Amino acid sequence: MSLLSVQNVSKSYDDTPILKNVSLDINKGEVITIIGQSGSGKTTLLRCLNLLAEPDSGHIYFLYDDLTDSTTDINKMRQQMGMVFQSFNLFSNLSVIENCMLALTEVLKMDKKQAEERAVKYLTKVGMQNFIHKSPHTLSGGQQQRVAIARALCMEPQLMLFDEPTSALDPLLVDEVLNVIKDLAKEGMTMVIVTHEMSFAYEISNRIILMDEGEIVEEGSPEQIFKTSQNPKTRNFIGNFLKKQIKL
Amino acid sequence: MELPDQSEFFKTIIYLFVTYYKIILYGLGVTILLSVVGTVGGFVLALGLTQQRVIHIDKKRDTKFVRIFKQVFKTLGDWYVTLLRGTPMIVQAMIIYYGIATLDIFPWWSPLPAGLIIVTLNTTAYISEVLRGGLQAVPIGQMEASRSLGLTYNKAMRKVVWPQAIKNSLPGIGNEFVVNLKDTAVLSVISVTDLFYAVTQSASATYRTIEAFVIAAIIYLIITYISSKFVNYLQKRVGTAKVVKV
Repeated sequence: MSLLSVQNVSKSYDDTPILKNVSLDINKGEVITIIGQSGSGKTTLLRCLNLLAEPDSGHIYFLYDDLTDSTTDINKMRQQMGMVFQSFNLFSNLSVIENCMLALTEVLKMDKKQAEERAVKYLTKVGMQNFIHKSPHTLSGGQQQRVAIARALCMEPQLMLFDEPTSALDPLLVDEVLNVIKDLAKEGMTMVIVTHEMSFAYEISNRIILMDEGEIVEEGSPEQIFKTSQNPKTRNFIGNFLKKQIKL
Repeated sequence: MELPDQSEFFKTIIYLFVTYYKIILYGLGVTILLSVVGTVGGFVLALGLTQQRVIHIDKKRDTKFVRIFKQVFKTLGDWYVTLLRGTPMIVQAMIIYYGIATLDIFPWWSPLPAGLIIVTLNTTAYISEVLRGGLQAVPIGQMEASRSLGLTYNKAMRKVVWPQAIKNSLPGIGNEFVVNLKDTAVLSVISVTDLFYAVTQSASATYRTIEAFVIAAIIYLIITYISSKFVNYLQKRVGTAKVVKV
């Protein structure tokens, strides 16, 4: 069975359908990127996976639990599913290391010393070990996002969700974040990434999912989506993207 | 010292202060006590009240009983704030003080404890509104990030959202303290021996009303000025004072 399975999920906001009957399987070790225009439902789909958005209908199975069942302990599930946000969302009342330690001490009930060790381990992994006592607002966007990734990794989750992790970044800072994500992919972390970085998606994914108007238009290997797709919508989207590349 | 002639304005002020300084300083002490207790007590009570008013009702996971329970307390909280902010404190003081005095249930019921309770209840409502604003200013992403890590709603509120909301609210809470220093004057209506009451006493004993209340004005101005400066200093220390330069 797959690690996470989305079955016929629909979701609307105020009668506007955002997701229409979406189904999707995610296997352990896979790196899946979701691409598509703004408003196509990518982010909503991602937020449904950890129930930050509640699906109206359909089921989501994760580690054998049906998340949409009201008796499932969503806090337990979320410990296993890290999330990285477009706007970083570092806790502004806490320092870098406290950001990473909060869930370790409060959710996993680790003692302070253990939590600190683990936080330093993952902050080192993202190259932020020299900033552990800084306050989030003193860091650049790229640095904040790397801390946010470390914060999620500290829980040692089974699955990582990335919601446009570089969309709020200065172009010069995008690579430092993408490189961290690429390293995670090499280590075999299962990831679902919503992104507008097409070359990154092409390079990193096992599977790319193209969404349009709340539906999955096509899913397949990067080769299939970018080069050999016969689907007119896919060709149109990829074609538009390729046209926008600056040719020097 | 003799009571100076009607025409001697400044001498009269000095005479009044020298003669009545004990009762005036006692009144000043009561005024400060009312404001400190009212603001600190009001803040503590407002924390609970505001949490009740903003509580998250989970339509899917809360049982029907829990949903109704939360909704009832939410509504009661809103009513409390509407009632206490929608009526003058002087009216609240009359109703509460004489109401409880008539019921005769508390043997210790007298003007000062009554005044302390009234100013606390009143300030609770005002600080609750300040805190609600402070909560609304915390970005939703802070709660989402907390929940995405597996924190419960309560833990996320306590560890992440409330600390930021309180920091956002400090200017408003400080302002509430300064307002209390002045507005507790109305409690003299139930004979709380605050600064206003003390000055009234000295005025009626000497028939020098204007001079007596000029003394009151000067003292009120001094304590509100000092506390405003102190509040500003505190805001700078915790970093809520953002200076906008245009």
